[in-house]
Amino acid sequence: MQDEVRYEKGLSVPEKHLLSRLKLTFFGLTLIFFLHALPGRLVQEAFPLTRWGMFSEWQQYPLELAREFEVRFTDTTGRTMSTSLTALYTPLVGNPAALGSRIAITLANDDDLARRTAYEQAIAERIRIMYGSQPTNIEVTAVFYAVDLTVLPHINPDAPQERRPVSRFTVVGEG
Amino acid sequence: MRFIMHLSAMIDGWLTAPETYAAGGLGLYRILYALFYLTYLPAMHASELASIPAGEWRPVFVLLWLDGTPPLAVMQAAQIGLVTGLGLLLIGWQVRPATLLVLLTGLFIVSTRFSFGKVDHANTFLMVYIPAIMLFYDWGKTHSLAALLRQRRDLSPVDPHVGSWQYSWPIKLVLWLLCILFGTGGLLKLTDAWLVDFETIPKLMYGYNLQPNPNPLNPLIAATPLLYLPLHFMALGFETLFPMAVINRAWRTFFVSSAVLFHVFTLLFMQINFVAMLIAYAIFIDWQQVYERLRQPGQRFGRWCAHQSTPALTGSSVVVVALLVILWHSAIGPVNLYFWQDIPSYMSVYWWIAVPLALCGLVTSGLKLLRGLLTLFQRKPVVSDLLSRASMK
Repeated sequence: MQDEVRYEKGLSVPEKHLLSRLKLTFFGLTLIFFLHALPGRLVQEAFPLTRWGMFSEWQQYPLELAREFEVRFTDTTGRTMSTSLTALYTPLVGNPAALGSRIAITLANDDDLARRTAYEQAIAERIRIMYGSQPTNIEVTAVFYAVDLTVLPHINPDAPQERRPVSRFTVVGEG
Repeated sequence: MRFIMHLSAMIDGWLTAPETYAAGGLGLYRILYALFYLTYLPAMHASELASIPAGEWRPVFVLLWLDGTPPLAVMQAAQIGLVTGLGLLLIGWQVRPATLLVLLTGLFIVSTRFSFGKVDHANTFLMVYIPAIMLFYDWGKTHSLAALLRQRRDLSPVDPHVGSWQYSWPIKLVLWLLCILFGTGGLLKLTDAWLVDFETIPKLMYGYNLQPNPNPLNPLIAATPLLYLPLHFMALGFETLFPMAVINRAWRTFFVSSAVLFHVFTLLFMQINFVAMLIAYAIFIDWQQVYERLRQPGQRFGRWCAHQSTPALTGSSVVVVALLVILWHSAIGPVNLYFWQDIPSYMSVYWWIAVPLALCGLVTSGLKLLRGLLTLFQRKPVVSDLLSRASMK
């Protein structure tokens, strides 16, 4: 009690109000962030509230096989170049491999022609932005590599185990 | 009841404890924040977010009101607003509106980015939490054009050497947010696989190493229990015990330095780059003291500003900010330079500065804590003594 009296004496009325507001803010934030974090991934993150559950639910990685979505394209000058869906979206999002996979799945499986065309145009646009060239033909392929954890690198990019075509399309328009 | 009163007194004591030169330090932090953000922003390629297929739009909570990807023009406008705000923060003019502009445009850009996939916490601190906190604290009180103009209107300037709690509470708030986020992150790990599966680190090491340029140390760590088991418990202990950073300055330095090294580890072994988090940790550095040691150039600039008329200063500030905005997307602007030089590596400069500081902080604070713990064990005080002593502070 003595401590409290000593402390109260040292502050002016506006300072006391400021301290009360500050304490309320700290208490409120603690409560909100705790309640938001505790359900883990059972409840979707309500951004801008965040929780740091990184690697808290790490699953066994399918270490026998690695997959990449290769994008091979020819531009208006006749040059042929190769990249990957992951590389195309790396600057833009935090998990480009997952975004690349979702895009590839849509290209391969979606029956809605308009939706597929929109995806194809979007890939062409990414190539235009990243390589500064106008692609004419684009081919997306799922490439699988065998994983050998006893050697480095664990995958041999020059010797894919399997190649499965995902989509092949011609870019129309601005060319 | 007695315990609650002690706890309340301890909280008050912690909140009202001064921070050395906080007023000046946070004024300088504003400048560093704006500079860091301006160098980091081109790497986000914000206006290109419109080039992601619209079908991938999965809006985060704050953008649920938006039906689809914002068009290119909107993203560009947001970026122009953000650069304008950062330019104003750099100069320290119209600081509160500039902070609001930085918060709103940054929140919009980062929410759009997160609406295509993963929520990235480092960007959240840089683009949302820090400007949101500073909106309620005027970080333009010192080392700013606003402070100079205030002085000219015969209003009393804020002494940069003031460190009272009214000027230092944002430092405490950032620390507290880190404590909650790291602490709950640790709790989530404790309630999940980390206390059952001790192979988590090897799995991560191999999983992130499946690439053409792997880290040769990953397989070594993953195959050696004497290496990966301590790492497992260090990561768990670090996150769960992070809230101990509130105990005193030595604990804070210890945990914040450990956090930087923790991020370096994830960068080197998993290629996960948390460089944006460095600006959150930078708030704990006493920038005023750094400035006083290297103040010659700053003083010269200050004297030069003091000799200019108010219209000249405000006019040139407008010109500087306008040039920054106009040049942003031009051929010689940061966005195009970023592509041209393949500059992503320039961000590593921040790591080269942060890592030696973190190592130094870890060693000095570690030694202090060790000495403190030794003293504590020698004296064997009871818990109630500790509580009452803490409340006396």
